[in-house]
Amino acid sequence: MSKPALLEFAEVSKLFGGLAVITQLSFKVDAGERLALIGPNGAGKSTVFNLISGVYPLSAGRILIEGKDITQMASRRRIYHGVSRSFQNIRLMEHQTAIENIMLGQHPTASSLSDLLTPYRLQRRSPWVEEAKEALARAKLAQYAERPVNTLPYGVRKRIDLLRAVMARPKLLLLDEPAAGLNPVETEELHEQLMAIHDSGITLLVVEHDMHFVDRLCTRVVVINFGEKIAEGTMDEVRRDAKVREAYLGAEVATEASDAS
Amino acid sequence: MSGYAEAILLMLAINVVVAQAGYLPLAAGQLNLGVAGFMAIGAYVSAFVTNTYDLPIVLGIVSGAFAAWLVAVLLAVPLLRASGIYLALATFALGQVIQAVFLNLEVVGAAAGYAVKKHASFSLIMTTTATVLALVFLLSRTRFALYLTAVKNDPVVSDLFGINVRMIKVQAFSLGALIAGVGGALYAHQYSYLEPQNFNILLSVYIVLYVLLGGTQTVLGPILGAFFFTLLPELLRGSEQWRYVVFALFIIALMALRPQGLITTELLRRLTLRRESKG
Amino acid sequence: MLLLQQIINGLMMGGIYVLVAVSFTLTIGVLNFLNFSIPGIFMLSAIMAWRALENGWHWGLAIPFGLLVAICASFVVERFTYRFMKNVDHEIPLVSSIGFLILFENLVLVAWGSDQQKFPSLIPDLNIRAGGLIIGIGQMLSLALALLLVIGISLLLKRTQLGRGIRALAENAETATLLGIEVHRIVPVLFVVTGLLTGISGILFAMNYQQVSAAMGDVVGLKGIAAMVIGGMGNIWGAIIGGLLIGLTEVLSIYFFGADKVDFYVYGLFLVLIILRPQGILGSSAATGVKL
Repeated sequence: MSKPALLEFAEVSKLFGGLAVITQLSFKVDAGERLALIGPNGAGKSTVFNLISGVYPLSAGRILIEGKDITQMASRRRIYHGVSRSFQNIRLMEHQTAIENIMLGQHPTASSLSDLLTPYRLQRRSPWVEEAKEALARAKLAQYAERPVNTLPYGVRKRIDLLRAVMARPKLLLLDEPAAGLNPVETEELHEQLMAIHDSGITLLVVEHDMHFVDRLCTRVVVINFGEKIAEGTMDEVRRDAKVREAYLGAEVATEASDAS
Repeated sequence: MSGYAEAILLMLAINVVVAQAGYLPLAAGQLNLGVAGFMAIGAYVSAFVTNTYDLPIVLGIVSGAFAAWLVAVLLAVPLLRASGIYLALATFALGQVIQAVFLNLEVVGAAAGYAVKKHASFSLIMTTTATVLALVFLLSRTRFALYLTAVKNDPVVSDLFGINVRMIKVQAFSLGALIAGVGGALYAHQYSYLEPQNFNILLSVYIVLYVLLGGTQTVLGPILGAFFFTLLPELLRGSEQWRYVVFALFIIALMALRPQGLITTELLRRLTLRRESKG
Repeated sequence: MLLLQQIINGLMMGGIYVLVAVSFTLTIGVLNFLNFSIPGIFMLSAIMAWRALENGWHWGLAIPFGLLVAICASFVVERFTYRFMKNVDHEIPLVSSIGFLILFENLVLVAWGSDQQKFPSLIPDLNIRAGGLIIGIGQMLSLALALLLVIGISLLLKRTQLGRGIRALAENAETATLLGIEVHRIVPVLFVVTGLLTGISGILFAMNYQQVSAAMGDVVGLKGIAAMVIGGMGNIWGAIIGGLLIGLTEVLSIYFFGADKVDFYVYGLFLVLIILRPQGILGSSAATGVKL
């Protein structure tokens, strides 16, 4: 018997007040992949993330992690089964430092009662603080470690949000538009950072609008539109797909045209 | 030390303790307008057990604190279904109900009041205050304190990172009540006479004011707030009413100009940085 | 018969609570702001009208004067609370409004002391006696006025341009701004309206109970909050039901259980309701939604 996929979405549907946002959506993410989930605005990509992380319950279907059904699992428990995520609209503790924000991501690995009540800030070298500092240093963000995040530039905050998710040592990392709002230099740094994260053994599932970024980063893409899967394969394959050209790239061209006007 | 200075110090000590009782829930985003109710539980229970069973005051304080904590834990689950302004109103109602219960509880004198036989020494009150402050300070150096901020800031994200948001909320609420119970017990053994009216909504409001004036980001904030609140009226000459007028103007101005309170983590960080650069 | 009399008294008292509850509910429903200065404004209008009467003013001038002071006070509260409440924790404007409550009460204490003062009865002390029941005309008029005012406010919200603006603001401040509604103009008007309502209720209270004091707003204000919660926060029809219900609960628990237990039942009802049914009796299903 082959190993089950790391994540399996099995005929998942989601309705909001009678309105179908996701319809009978199925796809798999295998361990070690770098998979992108793409589609026009409003296609339901963010909803997929919210269903995986358990922010919303499903209307129908199942979600499995390594063959284990997590459909009914409380959202809080899912990170302990290897799923963590970043947020499109950066959700950090604004008045806390970069270190403190990243430390939130350590919770799944430091959740015992004694972890909770250790006065780590009185310790000369707390392993948690050291780990957070190292992570920041690896991401070339060491100089921001002690700064409250509301004083930091957008690109840096975005990457602190990402580091927090990585700190949970997930098997599967959900990245919600990681490159949105970054300048070309920051995008390049992000690419390297994500490749390094992947090399450390973490599978990536990315929602992203920057096709160039997706093309470089991901090995495979799943295209959804109006909550349904319309294509799946390598970037080159889906690019040639007629349905994708019509639904997605057509829409993209239309958007670009309207943006330009 | 003069009697006046000693009286002020004792009042200050009790206020500093109850400020922490308001601070812990607020750090998790809960505005508890029923703190005075938990103080009343601590005060009456401690007074009752020391009066009736001739227990030492320390055990009275412990029983009072435990009783307040227990009531909070039992009520926390239904109460914390509400949040924001709803929680503030629910705790307000709870404070009123607790006050009304003591107003009718014949065993502790009901509306007529209740005399407390055992009087706490100056050193006992100071030691208790120091212990409470030390424990809260220790707690503020832990991951627990970090999670209070996380839960206040964004409960959804906290939940997705595996934090038991409800547990953190219940702990913040009930630990606040526990400290309020200690403060109430100290009050009982300091002033020696309890009346339900002492624990009215205004007291809860003042406790919340200590915290918000001082700032909710640090443990130091509420302490400073309590100092300020206790000493400012003493420093202002003139009639009691004029003091309160000035005081009210101060509250309004501070909330408008510095809503995060007097002491913030940013301020402390700057102060420490300056010290480091000097040293 | 005595019970029936109590019920009537409760409804009369409830009328005052209704007005106060509507003031609370308007600021909560539209701005999500629990305005604690309302009991202070309640007291200010009655005290100022009393001062004017003491100085020999005709009641036709003294009452508008009291109301004017109430409106001005409410306007000042708006400048210092709502103005500064953007991007801060929700408790900050609440605390400022408590500051105003302390300020108003102590200013009055400084000026005229804490004693209860006699407020002249402006309406001839006529009672209707029907089958052993006594119904004060003044009280009945004030209950009727309270209900008329609430109906008026409701029509204002439904029918006028201003009302539509207020409701849009209650729905979502951002959307309201996008729709071209001038939020910075509507909010002061809202405070003027609540100031006026609170002022009217203060003067009605003074006329009915023929006394004023610096602390007169406290108990009524707290009961007004309870009435608002019970009816459903942000729901003005709920405020009517809540106000009358609180008035009734109050007199009935005095009648059945004695005066000392009133608060226990009134706030007990409040507490149970806010936990089990936070949207109140008439509220919509979403606890924080809009019900104007």
